[in-house]
Amino acid sequence: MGYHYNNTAVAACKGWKVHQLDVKSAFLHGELIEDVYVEQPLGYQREDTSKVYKLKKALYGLRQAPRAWYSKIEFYFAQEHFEKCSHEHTLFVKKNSEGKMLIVNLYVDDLIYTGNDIKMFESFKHSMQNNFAMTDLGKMRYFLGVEVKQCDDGIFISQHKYTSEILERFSMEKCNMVCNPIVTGTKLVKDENARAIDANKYKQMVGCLMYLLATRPDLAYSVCLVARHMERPTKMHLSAIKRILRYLRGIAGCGILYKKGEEVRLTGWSGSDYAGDIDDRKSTSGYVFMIGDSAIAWSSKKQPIITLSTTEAEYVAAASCSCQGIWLRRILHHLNEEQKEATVTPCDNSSSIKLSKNPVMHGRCKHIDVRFHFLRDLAKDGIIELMHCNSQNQLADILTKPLKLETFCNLRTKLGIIDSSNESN
Amino acid sequence: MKVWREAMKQEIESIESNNTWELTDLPVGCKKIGVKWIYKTKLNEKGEIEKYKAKLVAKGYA
Repeated sequence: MGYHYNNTAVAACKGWKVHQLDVKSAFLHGELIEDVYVEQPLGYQREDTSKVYKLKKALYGLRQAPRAWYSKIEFYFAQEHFEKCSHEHTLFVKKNSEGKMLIVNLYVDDLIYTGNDIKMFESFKHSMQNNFAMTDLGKMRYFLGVEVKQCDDGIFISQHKYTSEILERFSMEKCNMVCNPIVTGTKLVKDENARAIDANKYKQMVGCLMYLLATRPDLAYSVCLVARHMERPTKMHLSAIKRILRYLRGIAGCGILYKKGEEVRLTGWSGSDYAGDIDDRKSTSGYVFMIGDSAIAWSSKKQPIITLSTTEAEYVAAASCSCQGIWLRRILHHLNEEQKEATVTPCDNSSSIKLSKNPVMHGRCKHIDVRFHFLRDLAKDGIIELMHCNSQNQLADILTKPLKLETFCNLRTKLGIIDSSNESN
Repeated sequence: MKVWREAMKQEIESIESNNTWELTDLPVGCKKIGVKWIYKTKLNEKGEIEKYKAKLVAKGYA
């Protein structure tokens, strides 16, 4: 599972406000290339009922409707001299010679825009309103289920309302609170002998929690861990998932604050556990990318292969982290925030670092797949630089291990997660 | 229900004004796709009904 908030973070650092527009009946704008005939709707037939309607534009429900809409809006942006980002097809940027820019991010029929020039905002809004029927939602407050607060010191995102809804749905709104989502040393295993519990409800819980990861990197590890046992959950798994809910009850209002005035500089953290899954002995890799003091992208994922050493596990994690890193760097470049220096990726395993710098074959790493040595190329080209860090400061640990309470809280704060109930705004 | 009839009228009008379709004969060898109505009530924050919405959708069999 992974998410990213590149644009929001850049906007916050610059102190720009993000605005939101909503296209009414978006799909009805899409133009069809194919000939499609539909029957006359019941109750609205013209005299001759044998006639049919030939569609010139898309209707909701047609398989090609979403694509038709995207082509339409893409064409509009091209006409308006927006530059499409080839690494993220929903991101459009318009720059003019005076260094003013307008950034538009599209999510089907919802679009958010930000930039450093009010005049560009206004003209964009008007031209959109002339071309499509629009609702102007003003400053972004609620987008894709994420609550957004734009205050003077930055942008705060959270899913407070959604969290309360989950707790209510699973009758946990009055449960006792706990301080961390998972107990140190917890290992979840397949247990064929224990009695299975209602898998349906378990899956529903996992599904609900998954969406919460959009603003909560602190939950990523624990939710991914319980999600691995959806096939045949037992009491042990249920109590693990309930602990996550009890943790949520304590800090439902938590979210990430992107502070104003930070330098837009990307750092990545990568890490892994080693053979954490007792059933198949695969390791978990995790990474988190930060801009300033806040997390913008994170992921926690079981590795696709079984690794033979901690070095190899860390190396695989670092390779997947750097793939994401390259992508983020390219998008930042597109937003005029080119990262001139290599993106520093702290990693707490020194032999992995050496392995990335030194293209020598060692006996115990001969078997490491070529695709993971991709990292060496990146290190050589100065795109990603692995650096040693102390295990206590390893931010990615929160995504790969069940931590001690003190470390957990410490890392959580470092990810930029704060409790909104302590905030005045 | 009167509200629903009104909502359906609005939807048909919006489709027509958007120049979405034209009435023709079905050419030989073509199939027509069924359509159906979807009815939804939109609630406001207090849980009261804010809007009756009727949407005409094609059965894309997705």
